[in-house]
Amino acid sequence: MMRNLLIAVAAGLVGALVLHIAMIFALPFFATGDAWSRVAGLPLEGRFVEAERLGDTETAGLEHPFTTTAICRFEITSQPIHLRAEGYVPFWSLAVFDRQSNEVFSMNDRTAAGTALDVTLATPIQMIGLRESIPPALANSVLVETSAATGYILLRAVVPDASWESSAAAFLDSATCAPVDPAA
Amino acid sequence: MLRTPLLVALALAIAFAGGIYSTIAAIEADDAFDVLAIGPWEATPLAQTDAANPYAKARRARTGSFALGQAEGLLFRTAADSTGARLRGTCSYRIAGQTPPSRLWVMRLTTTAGATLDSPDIFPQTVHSNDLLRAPDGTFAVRLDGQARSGNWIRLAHDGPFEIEITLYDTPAAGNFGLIDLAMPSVERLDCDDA
Repeated sequence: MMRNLLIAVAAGLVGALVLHIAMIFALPFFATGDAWSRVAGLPLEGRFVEAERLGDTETAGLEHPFTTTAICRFEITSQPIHLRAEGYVPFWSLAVFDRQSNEVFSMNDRTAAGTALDVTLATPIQMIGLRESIPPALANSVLVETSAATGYILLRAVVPDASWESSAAAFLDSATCAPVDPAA
Repeated sequence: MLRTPLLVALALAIAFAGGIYSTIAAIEADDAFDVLAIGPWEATPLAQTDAANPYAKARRARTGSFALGQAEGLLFRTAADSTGARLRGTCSYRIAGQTPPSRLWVMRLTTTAGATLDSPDIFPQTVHSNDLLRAPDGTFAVRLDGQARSGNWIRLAHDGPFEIEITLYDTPAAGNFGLIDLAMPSVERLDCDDA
């Protein structure tokens, strides 16, 4: 009797361990409140939108003091997208995430050519085409290859004081993430 | 006989209760792996990458948070002072020293959930590196206090525990595990209202 009880408890503990491991690994694929589910409702209109459109931003890492954030959902299965923004802000940074919220690429204004944002995001197959003949519009663009077909892009601008607000807003308003025709 | 079904039910109960409880506890706890700790300050430079550990991936899926990319910056948090004691909103603190090199950094006080501490707008709630009084050697000291203080001051009037967050923008610390000797400011408790 006692021995059977011990075996049952041991089996339960092993089961708990298996369940724990399974849930930890499965959570990123089944979570309903993850970053991607919040972003998935954004329209694919080729523009960055204010992060406030995602609802509660306070504890989600979108509301840092002195920064404003814009966000764009992307899909590059059919065409690469071209990220552009122009303006003058003391600091901007860009981060591209896949739908599991893994960072694909990130850069800031010091790692950009000039101060403007000019990045092209393409799949490996699209990249072969781009390398063969680069469209003139993308000549100065930073080419980023990613196997993530869908995901989201965050563009942050730092606003150290109120006098920078209009400048930062203009920078984020100018930000686009529109598809490009590789043949054009 | 009821004995066998009872033992099976016991095993299943232990498996589900233990599995679910341990998973929730592991996700809600702070990350124990891949932590960059400097004094009381902790950062997780890999948490947003594909190289993150499974717990970090599960945690970010559950919280739905948007992390800073590696080229964007790095976020340090602390829930304790330099002696390891929990930060309490009824005490006053002195944060002194220097931060790792960065283009800009911002300090704010948050609740344990990560929301900015409520404080009337007329009081300073944040400090950023471009708007800071420094000693001639580049170090700084920030007072967290319920009373107004000269120098760098953030108003601290909160019931219960709180955390301090320093966000470094464009910093080599984000891609660093021990290559550069990083320094973060010390957090020293001065006095407490109820002491």
